[in-house]
Amino acid sequence: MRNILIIAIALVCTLNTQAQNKTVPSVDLKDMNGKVINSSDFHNDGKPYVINFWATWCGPCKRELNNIAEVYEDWQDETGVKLYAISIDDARRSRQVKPYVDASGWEYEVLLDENSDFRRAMNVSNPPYTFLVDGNGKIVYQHISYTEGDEDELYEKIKALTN
Amino acid sequence: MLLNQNQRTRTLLLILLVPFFIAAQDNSGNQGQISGSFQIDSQYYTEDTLTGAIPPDEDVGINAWGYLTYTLKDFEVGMRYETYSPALLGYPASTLISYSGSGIGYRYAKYKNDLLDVTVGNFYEQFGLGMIFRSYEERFLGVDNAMDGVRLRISPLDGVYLKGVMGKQRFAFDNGFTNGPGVVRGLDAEFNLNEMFSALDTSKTRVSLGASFVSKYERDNSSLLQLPENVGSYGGRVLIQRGRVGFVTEYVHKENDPNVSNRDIYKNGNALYSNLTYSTKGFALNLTGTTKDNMFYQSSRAVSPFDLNINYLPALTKQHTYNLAATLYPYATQPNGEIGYSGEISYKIKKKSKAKSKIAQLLGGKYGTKITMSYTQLNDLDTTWIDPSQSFDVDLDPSRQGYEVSLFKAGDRVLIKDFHAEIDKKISKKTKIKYTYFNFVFDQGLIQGGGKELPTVFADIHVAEIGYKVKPKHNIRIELQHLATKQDSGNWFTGLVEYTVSPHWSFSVMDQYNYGNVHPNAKLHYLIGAIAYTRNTSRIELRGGRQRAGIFCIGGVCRTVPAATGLTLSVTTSF
Repeated sequence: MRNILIIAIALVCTLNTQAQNKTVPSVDLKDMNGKVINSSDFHNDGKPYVINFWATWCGPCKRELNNIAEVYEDWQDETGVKLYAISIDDARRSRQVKPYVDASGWEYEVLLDENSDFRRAMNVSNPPYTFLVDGNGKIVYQHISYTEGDEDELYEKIKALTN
Repeated sequence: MLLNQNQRTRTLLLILLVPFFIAAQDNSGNQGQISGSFQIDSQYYTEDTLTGAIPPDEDVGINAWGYLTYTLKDFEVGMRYETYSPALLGYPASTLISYSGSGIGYRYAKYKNDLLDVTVGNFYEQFGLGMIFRSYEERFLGVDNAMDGVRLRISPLDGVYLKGVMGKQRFAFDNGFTNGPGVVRGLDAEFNLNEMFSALDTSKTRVSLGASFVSKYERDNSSLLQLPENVGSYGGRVLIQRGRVGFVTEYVHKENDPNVSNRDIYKNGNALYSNLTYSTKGFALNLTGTTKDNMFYQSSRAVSPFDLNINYLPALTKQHTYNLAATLYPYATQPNGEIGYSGEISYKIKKKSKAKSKIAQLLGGKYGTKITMSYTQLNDLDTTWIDPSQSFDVDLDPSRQGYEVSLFKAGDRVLIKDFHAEIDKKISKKTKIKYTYFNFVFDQGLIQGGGKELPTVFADIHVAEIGYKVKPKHNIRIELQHLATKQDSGNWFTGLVEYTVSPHWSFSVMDQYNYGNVHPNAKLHYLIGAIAYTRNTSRIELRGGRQRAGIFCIGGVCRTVPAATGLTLSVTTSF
């Protein structure tokens, strides 16, 4: 009973702070060459960027990123947006990330979150999961799962930030 | 002050929650961040005389998780509250333990600055590729071996990353998590040469080296055997990336570790994994080899293969996503002896290909085509039993080795052969098609039958997938799958229709029909319907029908579910 009370209080506190836009927490990731990159260094010269959590074993994730890949060039030309594709494959499966990314011809900033530290810090339950971060580093939009066409909604949100 | 486990948990919880209260009271603006997520999976079961699915006494199962973290500058606290009332059928993955009641499943406090990062309480961590140490959570599977203790990560020099861990591992759940009996201690060092030496900073060749040491302690309670109370293991790894070429290898060695899975032999364990990739835009090649012997490494000697694992040895086979290919004959790693290799090649024919061949021109088309092929084979190791009758269970000699084996010599027994080829093509602005072929040779007795002699399964699977854009935001996706085999339960057909209205709705119907089963009563339809509603970070899914055990991906999320007939409601949200 006491536990439930504590949870309830914590929840109320949460609701109090929810109005603020959150920023991206600081977690070490690796790029596909093994170089350590901290998530607090994500930036796009004052323009918005997208953080997308995916994995090589996740079908809907690959559908989403392949669909966005087809229009990514247009997106970049029109809004200057950048996409960070965060693979949550474990250290073993992450070896398949670079081959998959190259073969698919993706132009994203692909980073590895091998211990799911960033995934937990961002409270991502399951991939695919998308965040949109504005030019000031505030998270302004989040979306769980993927259905065909969701990228259009995401793009509307991106355009709304850049206009 | 003496406190029982419950009181201790509560006290700790109160301490952990202090910052939440501070956060709520401090309105100075930049005070910190709270975030969290909730997930509830509930199932209502009905009896199904055809599948033999028996509902539990309470007719329902509810699993729920709430996760909260609070971050203030360099300081972070978090906890997960869990409820199992009762747990879903087939949950957790291990059949020897149970999850029941409500309580704290995970809690920690963490402080981090430029030099170090210290965590007390629960944490997930891994060394290298995880072959020697990995604590992780796979919630849908019901696997969670979170550490409970202390972790320190230090980076004293550029490019030098040191980690130290100590603690017990999460085992079961009874109004709060319970830990296993053993203690795990580990050290890991990773050296990124390019970051360490400025001369190499701009080098195209990126090299990092790593070394780990892990030790587990468990008391010897045996009256018959003399068991080692400390079991050490160590390993090393090399990672090299130069432009298009990547190479990684890890070797681990484990000292003698008599346990229930190796029938209490005093033999050392070894494992090696190597992977080579070559990739450039539109082309990728991926080659892997592995061998392992006597590599179960758990912080208790007598638990199920799912429990208290210290190391992590995932299957070498490709993780397939189509229903029939993924759920009927998935390979499981054999830590006590397997050797094999796998290769995968992918090629993307460019759009508007100018290749001479007519076929390439056709495949290139307006949107390009992607072709992928892979093959994996694993055998047992060539093993010679010292006592051919293998009846050494009564032998109490504390030096017995059990068998002789060479780590690089394959035995005659094929555990798995997995071939797959797929062609993925967008035909027009509205239509996408994908065709996939699979061929499996599967040692069912060893992998699923617990060593029982079962005939090897030979299976052919064809899958056609069509995606069609009906109108803006409206899409339909159809999967037609066929599996042919003369063994096990015979032929299967699966049909899936998924209609989605972006960004909120998903409707799907799937039928798996075991029409080739030799038992007339088992020629069953496993029909499942699902509706999902998604809004931003929340998702609600209602599913009903007859579920066969396996991994299911519907409407955008993959999860493992047990065999059951009834209704399932899943809700997830995060903030």
